Order: sequence, then structure tokens, then C-alpha cells
Amino acid sequence: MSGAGTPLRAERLRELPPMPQVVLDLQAALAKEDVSLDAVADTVSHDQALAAKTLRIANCSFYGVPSRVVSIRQAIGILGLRSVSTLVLAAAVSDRFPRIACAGFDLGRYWRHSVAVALCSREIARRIRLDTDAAFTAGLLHDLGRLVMASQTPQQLERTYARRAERDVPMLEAEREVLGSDHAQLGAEVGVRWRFGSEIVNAMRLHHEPPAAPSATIVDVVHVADNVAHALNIAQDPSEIVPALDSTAWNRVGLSQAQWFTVFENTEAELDGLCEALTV
Amino acid sequence: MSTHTPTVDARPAVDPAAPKPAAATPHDSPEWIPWLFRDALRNHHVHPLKELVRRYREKDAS
Repeated sequence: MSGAGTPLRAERLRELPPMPQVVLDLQAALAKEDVSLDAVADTVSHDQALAAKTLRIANCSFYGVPSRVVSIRQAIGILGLRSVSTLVLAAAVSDRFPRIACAGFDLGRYWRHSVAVALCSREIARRIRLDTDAAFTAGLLHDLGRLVMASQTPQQLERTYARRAERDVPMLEAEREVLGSDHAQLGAEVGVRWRFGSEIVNAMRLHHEPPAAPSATIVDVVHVADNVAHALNIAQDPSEIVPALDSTAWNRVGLSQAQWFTVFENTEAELDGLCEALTV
Repeated sequence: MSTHTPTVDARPAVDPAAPKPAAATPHDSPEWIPWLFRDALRNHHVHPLKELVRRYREKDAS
């Protein structure tokens, strides 16, 4: 790291609003092995906004439920306990950043890319028998640091975009030069503050530089899925650049061309429905 | 008497404290890299995933 820029100081991170208590309660409840559907339904029902969101998501075409879902218990039964946890977390994160005033940063594109990485991570994890929910959540939140930059230090992020264009360097390098940090590091710090699990925090921190491992990890999955989403240009960004792909992570994931084509197809097919469900 | 001349390894000894070379990039180690990287290398050094997506779009269009 060059250290030439001004690091995003801890006090700027402290300015971020905390996760709502109900979300933390829900994450804690769902982390238990013997969690009951009734207990989760009870927690969700106590928060009106969360209850409304859960019902909206369950009724979204993405889940293809033929009749209208009217109770939280029924909604959780349809979505599954861990999916509820992920979707609630995603809704809480997106609520924290309703508007961003940063030239060059497009919130819609940001979420579209994140949802694509989540879907692609889940598709990959399913094929190599890793935890699909963890992969989905890690994919959805992998670039959170970039959202935090756009929200907390928009002018610095604008300078980062300018640096990238001027010197034709990858975004990560431009961030390190201008901000003295990068979105992966920053996202992980926020993940720790917001009490995301260690697997998610690790994927946020290392998704551009997956470490050596004896077999595929969630970090590998998110790294490759991020590349896939960029290569498919899901966010339809005119200045799209596919980041460097780590060939050892690619090898560890080890899918065939035919399997990749199915992963691409499923990711693209589910994208609009899930973006609609999450209203992002 | 043996006519065999022992070969001498003229390569410099590896200093274990020396920094490791950067990991091989997709374009400089074609024997080691997986099939996608090899194919991308042959195809004008494009990003391997762009190559895979090109094939996917091509298959989709056909």
C-alpha cells in the first residue's frame, strides 16, 4: 500500500449508523442450531418495516409462490430460515445507504452487480458442495466497502475514479493510492462492526486476493463470481473492467465449460427477479 | 574408470530469505495454467473469463 492517500479513519466508520437491533437479534437467533421457525417469526413480526419487507419478498415472482403469502410464519416457511436472514441483512444494509451523492458511482449498478455475484456464488457453491447461503451472503456484501466509500468520502472516491482513468490502473490500485486503503479492507472493517460472521468478513477482505488453500473456499467462490459478473457485464457499466482472475482460485473451483455455461445462464435468469424482490 | 562426467548445477543457490517471485500470470505459464487460460492465451491474450463469456454468447446465439 502506498500510503500516499488519506486513509478512511475509524471515526468516519463510527459515523455509520449501527445495524438495527432486530437484525442483530435475528442473526443471533438464526446462528443457533436449534432455532425454531416460531421464534424467528416472532422476532420479525415485532418490526413492522421488516415484517412488510419479508412479506413483499415472499410474494415476489422470484420465489414463484402461486397464492398470496399473508403471514410472516408462512413467508419464512417459503423462503427458509437462512434465506430470511440473508435477505433481511441485505435490506438493512441497503436501508443504510438510501442515496449516494458521488459522481461516477451508480447505486443501481452497484446493487445489480452485487446481486449477480450473490447468485453466481450460490450457483458455484452448489456445484462444489460449499455452504450456498454463506456464499450468497458473502457475494451480496463483497463490495460493501465501495458503498461505504461512496457514502462517507464521496469526493475521495471521485478522485479515485479520476486517478483510474488518468493512469489506466485497476480500481483497487487507484483506491490504495488515493484513499490509503481499499474497498476490500474497508468493507471487512464495517463487516466486523456490524457483526457479520467471520466467513463473510473474510470474503469481503480477500475477494480480490484469495489466499492459497488446499481446496476451494467461500473466498475463492466470491472471487471467481465477482469476475464472472464483471465479464458478463451484468451492471451494464460502460467503463466495465474485468479484474485480474487468480488462476489458482479458478483451479480450486474447477468447473467445466458446460458447468460454467449453466452457472451463467442461471445467474442471468434469476437476476431481475431478485433485484425486484430486494427493490434494489 | 567411469567416463561419466558429473554435471554441475550452475544455477545460483536459492536464498530462502529472498522474496518469492510474483505468481505466474495467465500469460506467462501456458503449461501450468488451466484450459481456459490456455485458450485465452491463444486468442489474442484476452481475459480468460471474457473468452469464456464470448463462447457462451456465441452458443446462445446459435
